[in-house]
Amino acid sequence: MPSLLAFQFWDDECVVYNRLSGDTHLLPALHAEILQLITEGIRGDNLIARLIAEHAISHDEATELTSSLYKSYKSLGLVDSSWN
Amino acid sequence: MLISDLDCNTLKTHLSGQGLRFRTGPFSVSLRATIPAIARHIAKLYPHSETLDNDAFIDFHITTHQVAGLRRWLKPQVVFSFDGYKPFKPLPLAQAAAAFEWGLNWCIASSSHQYLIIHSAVVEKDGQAVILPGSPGSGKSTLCAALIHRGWRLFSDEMALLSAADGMIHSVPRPVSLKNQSIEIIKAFTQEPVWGERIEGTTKGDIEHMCAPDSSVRQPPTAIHAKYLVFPHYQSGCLTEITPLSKGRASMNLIENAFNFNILGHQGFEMVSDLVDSLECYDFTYPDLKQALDGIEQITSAKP
Repeated sequence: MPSLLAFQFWDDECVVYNRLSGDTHLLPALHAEILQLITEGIRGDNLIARLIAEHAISHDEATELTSSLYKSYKSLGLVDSSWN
Repeated sequence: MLISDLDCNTLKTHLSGQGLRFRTGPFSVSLRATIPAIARHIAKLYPHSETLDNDAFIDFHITTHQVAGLRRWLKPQVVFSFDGYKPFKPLPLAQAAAAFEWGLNWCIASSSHQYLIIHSAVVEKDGQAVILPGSPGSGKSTLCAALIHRGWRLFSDEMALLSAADGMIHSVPRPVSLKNQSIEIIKAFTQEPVWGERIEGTTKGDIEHMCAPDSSVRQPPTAIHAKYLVFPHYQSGCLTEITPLSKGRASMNLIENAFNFNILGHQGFEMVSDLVDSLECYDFTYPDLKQALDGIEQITSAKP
């Protein structure tokens, strides 16, 4: 079954297409990467650990960023309701 | 045989009989019409179009006829129909030619989903095609009309046809529709084109159609890979500004201008992504026609 979301990355941006709604979203590449990880099932502490390892950001920054993005993505219908 | 090879009576006989069958870009049209203004419009603005035999496959069976009854005498109206379906309310009879052009646009946009259809002009020179998407007021058609009288070939004034089969832009060189002040600007710019009749008081203002040059209609290539995506913005009194546009932003802008993106769905997304990936993308703000022409030359001849 094809993924709900399709991603097209260019430099520091990404266009995301939602097959269910037909909507497109322009996101910073890092934010789209986080969305991609969430849709692959990497969530909660695993997601935060991955960001700290790959993007040299602090635990607090990663926690705040993922929490805030998750809320946005949930309101846009890009992710389901389970976080952990 | 071309439409220009038909004498006036033969043209009218076809239009009022089984229909005048002709090709415009990749599409075949059968047009039935008894309204004299439509016959004049076709004769003047589609002279280079190839006529088709009676057994040719027809994409769009179109009829434009005058509304019958009292309406024939009191505020006469024209009605457009496609395969017997009437998608629009009747228009004043004086707007019959506009009804045909808008109706044909609707036929293409609503049923030709082998293409991603982008609200855009497309011009080509020396194998370099420029896609010029534009919302109303952007100056897209004015710029397109001027470019095709400065050595550029008209691929399309109103819609870019991006083929799902080959990823190329296919030519549909129909008359260029100019509105209001743009008409006088282009008439002052060039004496070359053949013009249709002025259509006053439409929902878009006053309109005149400019004939697509013979070279645009009949010479190959009929499909090309585009090289530039330029979003024109006319702004009186501004400074000319050519700004490289990120591919992400360009994609979003292109999708906003695509008539059938939602119908094509994920395929449309992949088509836009592949197209934008291969293009140089710019936002282009200009104050007048001369600056607009110079800007397009600058974009396509060297890095701005």
